[in-house]
Amino acid sequence: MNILKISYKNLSTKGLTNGLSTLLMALGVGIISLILTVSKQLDEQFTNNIKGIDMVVGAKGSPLQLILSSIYQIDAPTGNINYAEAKSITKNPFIKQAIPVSVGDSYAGYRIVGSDSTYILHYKALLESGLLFKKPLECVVGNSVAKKLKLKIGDQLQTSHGLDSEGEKHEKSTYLITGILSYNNSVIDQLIITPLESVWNVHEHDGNQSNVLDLLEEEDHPEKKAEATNQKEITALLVKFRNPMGLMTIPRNINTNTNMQAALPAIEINRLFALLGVGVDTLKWMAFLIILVSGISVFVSLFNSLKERKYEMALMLSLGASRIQLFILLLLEGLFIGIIGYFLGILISRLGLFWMSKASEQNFHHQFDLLNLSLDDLFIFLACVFISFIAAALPSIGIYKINISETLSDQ
Amino acid sequence: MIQIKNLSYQFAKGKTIAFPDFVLEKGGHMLILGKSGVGKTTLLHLLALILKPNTGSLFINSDEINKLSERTLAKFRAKNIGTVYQKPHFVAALSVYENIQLASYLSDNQLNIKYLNDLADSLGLTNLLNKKVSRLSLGEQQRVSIARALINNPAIILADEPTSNLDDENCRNVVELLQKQSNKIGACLIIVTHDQRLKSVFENQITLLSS
Repeated sequence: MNILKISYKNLSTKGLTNGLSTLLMALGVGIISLILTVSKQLDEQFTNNIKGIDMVVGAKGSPLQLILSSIYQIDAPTGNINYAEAKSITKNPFIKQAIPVSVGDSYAGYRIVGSDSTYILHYKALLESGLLFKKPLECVVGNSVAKKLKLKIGDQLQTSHGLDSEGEKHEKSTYLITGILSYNNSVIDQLIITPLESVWNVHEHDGNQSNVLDLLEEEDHPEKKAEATNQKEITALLVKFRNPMGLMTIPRNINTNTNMQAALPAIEINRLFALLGVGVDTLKWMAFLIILVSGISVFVSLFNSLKERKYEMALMLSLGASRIQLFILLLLEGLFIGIIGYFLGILISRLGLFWMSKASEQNFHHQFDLLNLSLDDLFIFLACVFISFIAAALPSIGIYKINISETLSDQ
Repeated sequence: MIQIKNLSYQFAKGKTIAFPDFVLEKGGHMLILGKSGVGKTTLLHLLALILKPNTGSLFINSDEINKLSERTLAKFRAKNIGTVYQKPHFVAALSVYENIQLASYLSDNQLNIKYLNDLADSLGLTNLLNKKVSRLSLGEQQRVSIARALINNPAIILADEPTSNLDDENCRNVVELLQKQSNKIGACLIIVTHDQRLKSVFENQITLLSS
């Protein structure tokens, strides 16, 4: 027998009322924690993936779309640009590194990115097994893709055109897996990487078969075929500057003087988060209100229960309990609700995250880390304890006003 | 030993009740009779140390009780006085067993489980120990409050109308129980009642008259 046990018994006797308070608390905590975790992990993932990429050059269109498609691999590309033209930019001395990427094909819903080894080096991805691709139509597979699709070295992939799994199959071109990358916690985990040449090969081949007009034209003008090799296209160029001076001049130069566009990931992602931020803030306030209402509900339920249990309190006082002991007893009831509500809320938020992770993995091949407790969660815990403490302490002060004799003889 | 001298209590409304002096030796039994409204419960509450008298003094074991601070008073009460209140009050969330245990816990005494079980046995509560108090009949509740009053082996047992809700047979049982148990532990027993059936049982009686 101790105060803790008595307050627990009191709580469980009024299970429904206290359950409601706990549920409200849990809901508030769940929503806040979910929002904070998602926005934090998104933020981390987003900034992680743009690390070292100062500028993206691609076809004209929405700059955000260009960033999303060429870095995060979640939107459709804006179009293609001429490889030779893109390459000419890289002669600028301010440019330290330029990685070409070519997207447009997929295997089982996972994107195939045509690039070169610098792409893999850029993400500091390591090979878990096997070797890097050496020639066209060889590829290495990101860790998550390999796991999900149970791929192994030596497997042949028949890819399809387009970015979803329902695209038209490239029937005559199959990729050979030469290596599998180890887990990198970046976009590369969700990709299949192949040399640029593979993408060109596959599509030249395809083009000859599918587009009769092209075919006729090529036959009429044999010189076009030679030209075609110079007409090689890529989707985007991921550029890293040697120093910030590049940032001042190069993007503007590209945007005004070429038919390509230069987009700055840092700026676009900031803009994206500023847009999302409004919604996130609204939800945060709503969740905070729910927690507050839960606090009020704890207050009301304890206030009523103190009225009903006045006899009990007087009895315990007559049996030798001190008023501070009973004050603590009632306080504990409130804190119990706060603390149980908190852990229930964290559970709700993790379940929500699990569900979101599943959904986003299917749609965007993006996963959330479920077992990540952050400093924010600690703050939410302290807020819960504080609110339930206040909500319980206010009515519990009534303990100090009980007249034992009057209460016990009150008929 | 209990002794009261010139004890009086003034209600908030201004009415004052003066109580006759008496001395009760260690282990003695006493009946305090009186019609309702003459201050029986007030006297019991004064003796139970949950009310403070306005004048006069109260001695228990030759300590003058009025001089103790509230906190010492509470612990003194918990250890030395077992009270059976007129209306059986319990902590609703706790079982019969836990309600009895509570008195021991709040008085800072080590619970004697064997003694609790013996008490329950002699009061016929053994099968009820795990039930919620609210599921018990009034008579059963009365017996639980007797068990609770006895669990700390108090020097004084006070009972406020312990028999008013009981039929003749149960009335006799309860009185016998109170007498037997208080004899067993050598405690003073003071019963406050208007129940005339008890008059024949106790030799030592005082009657409160309306002033």
